[in-house]
Amino acid sequence: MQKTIKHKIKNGKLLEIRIEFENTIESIRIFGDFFVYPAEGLDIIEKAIVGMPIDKTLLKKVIDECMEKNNIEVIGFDSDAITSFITEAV
Amino acid sequence: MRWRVIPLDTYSGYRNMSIDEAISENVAKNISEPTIRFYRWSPSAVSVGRFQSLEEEVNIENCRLQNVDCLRRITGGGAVYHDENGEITYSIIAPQMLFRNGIRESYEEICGYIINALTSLNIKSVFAPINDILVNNRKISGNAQARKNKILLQHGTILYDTDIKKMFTLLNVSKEKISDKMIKNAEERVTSIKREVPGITIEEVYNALLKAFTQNKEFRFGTLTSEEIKMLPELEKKYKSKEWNFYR
Repeated sequence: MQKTIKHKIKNGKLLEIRIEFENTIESIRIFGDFFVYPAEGLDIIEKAIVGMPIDKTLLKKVIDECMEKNNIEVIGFDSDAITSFITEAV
Repeated sequence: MRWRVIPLDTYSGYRNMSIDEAISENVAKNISEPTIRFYRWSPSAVSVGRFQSLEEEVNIENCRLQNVDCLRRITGGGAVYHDENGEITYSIIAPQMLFRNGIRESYEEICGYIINALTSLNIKSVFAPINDILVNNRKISGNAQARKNKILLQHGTILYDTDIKKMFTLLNVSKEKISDKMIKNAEERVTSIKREVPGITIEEVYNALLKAFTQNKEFRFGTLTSEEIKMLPELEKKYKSKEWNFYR
């Protein structure tokens, strides 16, 4: 199944998630007017999410660990926003 | 630390973004000085942020009909209309250690130069985190920053006399984008220097920006180095390519 979720985050930026899923996340693309440092960090976050089951706690843990491990700093959204969008999509 | 200041010049969007990237690479190699440049865009162009979908943000067909270029920046942030007669853009490219620690703090520091310039033109403005400058709650300047190899590249636009109606025929501003603003439509979100101070010339605006950006800095006026110029053809190919512009 394919879904797109798009919202302006309160005190943040516009975030859009396009997701394909069955039991697990098959693909995900994240769009918006936010900032990611380094820029390659967004691809790394997307790759970390693919293949994961749709479990809010687990997804947040994976995203937070991925950002910490790769020194990724995001301004305009956070791991809570991504996991909320994903669970809203499914 | 001596800065290089490249005076106001006009290029296509493809060339402007290539120049910024070439300078950034050369400052990273320590063969170019930290640089401040001012520029305009001709033809007019729409640039989208690094993480946006160009197809979604831009009315590509209207851009084509009006000879407006479309391209992706290396910086995040939102879509911007660069009106060839209606704005001045700046770039500041330097080791990030020259600025206040923290990304948000460095945005505020550099946006402070623009606020000082506007103050000198009798326009009262405020920094609106993360990356905007507002006059009476309307946006007059948007700014975006990239960091690579410990080099900070921030560029931003200062709206002088932008054709705001035309802007909104080129940008697809979604209802989600303005959903948390107390406004009826996107046009109310934006102002320009000429709207605030009718009669002001673009030269006066440029001189105010130049003074504010160079205040308390040792600097010389300069041009691109031969190393930077050599990089431009390849970089321009990238900024014109579908692979780059439609990669996300």
